[in-house]
Amino acid sequence: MMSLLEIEDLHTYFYTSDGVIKAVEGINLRIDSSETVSLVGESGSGKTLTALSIMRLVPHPGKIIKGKILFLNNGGNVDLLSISEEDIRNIRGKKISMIFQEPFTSLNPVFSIGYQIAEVVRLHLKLKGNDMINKVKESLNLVGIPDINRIIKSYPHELSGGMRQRVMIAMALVSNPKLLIADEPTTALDVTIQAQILELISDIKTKLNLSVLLITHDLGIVKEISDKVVIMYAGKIVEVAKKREIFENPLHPYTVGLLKSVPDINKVEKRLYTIKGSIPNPLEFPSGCRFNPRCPEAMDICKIKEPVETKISETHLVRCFKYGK
Amino acid sequence: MENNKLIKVNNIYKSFKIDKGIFGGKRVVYAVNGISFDIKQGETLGLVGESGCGKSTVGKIIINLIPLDEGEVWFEDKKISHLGFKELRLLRFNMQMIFQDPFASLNPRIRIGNAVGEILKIYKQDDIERKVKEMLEVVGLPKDAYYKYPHEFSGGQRQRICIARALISKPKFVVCDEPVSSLDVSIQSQIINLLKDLKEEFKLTYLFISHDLRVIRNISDRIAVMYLGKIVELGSSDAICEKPLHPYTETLISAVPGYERKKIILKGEIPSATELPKGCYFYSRCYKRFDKCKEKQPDLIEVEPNHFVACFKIKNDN
Repeated sequence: MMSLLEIEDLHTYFYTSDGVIKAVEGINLRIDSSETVSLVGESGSGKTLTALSIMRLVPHPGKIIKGKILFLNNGGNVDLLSISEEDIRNIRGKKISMIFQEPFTSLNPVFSIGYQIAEVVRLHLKLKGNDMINKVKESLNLVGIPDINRIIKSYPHELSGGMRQRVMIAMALVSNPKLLIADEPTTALDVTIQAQILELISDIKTKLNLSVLLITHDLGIVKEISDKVVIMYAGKIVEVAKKREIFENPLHPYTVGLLKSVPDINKVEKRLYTIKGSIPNPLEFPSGCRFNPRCPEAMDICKIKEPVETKISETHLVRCFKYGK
Repeated sequence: MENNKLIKVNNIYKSFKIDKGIFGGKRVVYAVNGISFDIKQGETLGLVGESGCGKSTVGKIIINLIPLDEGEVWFEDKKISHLGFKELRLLRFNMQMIFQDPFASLNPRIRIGNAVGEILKIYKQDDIERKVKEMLEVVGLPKDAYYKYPHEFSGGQRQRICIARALISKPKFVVCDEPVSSLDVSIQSQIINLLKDLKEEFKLTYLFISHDLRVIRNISDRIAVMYLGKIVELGSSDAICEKPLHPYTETLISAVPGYERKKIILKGEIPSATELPKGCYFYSRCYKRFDKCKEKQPDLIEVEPNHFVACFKIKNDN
């Protein structure tokens, strides 16, 4: 399989008045065509920032310091980080689209739904008049929105949260992108609506032969729709594996802890498993392995040296001294 | 006390008037539409439902943060709805609440020691500093937290502060309103364990409000499922999660992500809380509905011992 996107050694830092925040440090990540990759981590782990780096939308005072992001475009690889602002604009929103957590704040409240989707069609597909309107309707139809003629004329506040997220997905997919980045797409939604949206994303994925980078903190969702799982902690990837490998044979102590600390609806534990301590302050990450102060299996070396990526199998990588250097 | 019932909620109703601006006129949102339940001494009752179903409103009504329109709330054989301000103050010593957002519920300008100890000051107790420091230690915070400000703590630690503040007066009953929803997974389980430990230590009774059935299952003895301001199912935690009877409960449980059960995907729109339907509120989205459901409302009926359901499909003759 050809890789659609390949991130090599990405570093994104924030230069704040309090010091440098190394929010993303040395990320390597590969997304194949029509693959769903889940990027899992807690707040401050750098998962959203990785996505924003792909889109070249890192907010001030953040800066991409180092690395390459190779994207397969028109048969050849381009490095998204070295092309011009104009070239990235032809990829962003057209070849790579993104949907966000809060569909309400991502839609403009003073324009109708139809207008906002038409804007994308005009800009990226250069369609006008009836062709444009038909394309807008087609995209709303794809995401299962009923009564399209009415919805086109409505404004965001007239729609429910689930509907708004459908509109966002329609807007993201209207330009027929190759990669969809979904940043916590269901976190703001109720569970019954969440189930609908997840089903929609996996349906569309097969229909359009789309690759999806799903950012989430909910391991339940990961289990539902991913092929590959990437676990991030404090700006670094600690484990990468196929979905089955992560759930059946998690290796990194952080992954193990995360999986164990999710409460189970089928089982009542007297005490839930916990990862001790709290997420480190990004201004002063611990030396050595960044997980070492919270790790139940920490050794002396973990405090001094940073572990490197160890290959357990072709598809399973882990960054921990238990398994390698 | 009758059968050790600490809290009795008797057919409560609450609606809010919303001003729609100069031309919009007024609209009424019916938040709670006839709810009754008891909470036994030492029990944790989980209240689950989706956003806007009125679960937080129920919690606030019980501890008298907002007045109710109709119905009664009893605490230890005393009717506490419609109490006056002075009596309410005394009551607050025994009933406390923990909120969802630990960032919004602490005043950024007040030191932790003062925030936690405030209630003791109001009741003119002595030895406040020692009591507060002890409580901070109980919830797993360092003693020097006493002198610090909220911004110096992480989300999980702030929630611990809020818990200390709720428990400092040694209340008998605590409403936990989504206390772990804004926390990361690794912190969430720490707080759940803490709440369980404190319950044992201080012999507490909880009303635990959450939208997350995985959390609710792991802390509650019984679960009440709410939809549009009504309880649709009430039973033991095991019965609700393993043998749900109401179609809405079934849907909620099937929708919890990460399990290999068949998902029930609902069709249809949620009715607006400003115009309640005449029949069963779940009718518009129900996959088991029939004609009767549109016309009449099912009562909450005990179909198995201690398992109550409001659905015509489950022997409900009304």
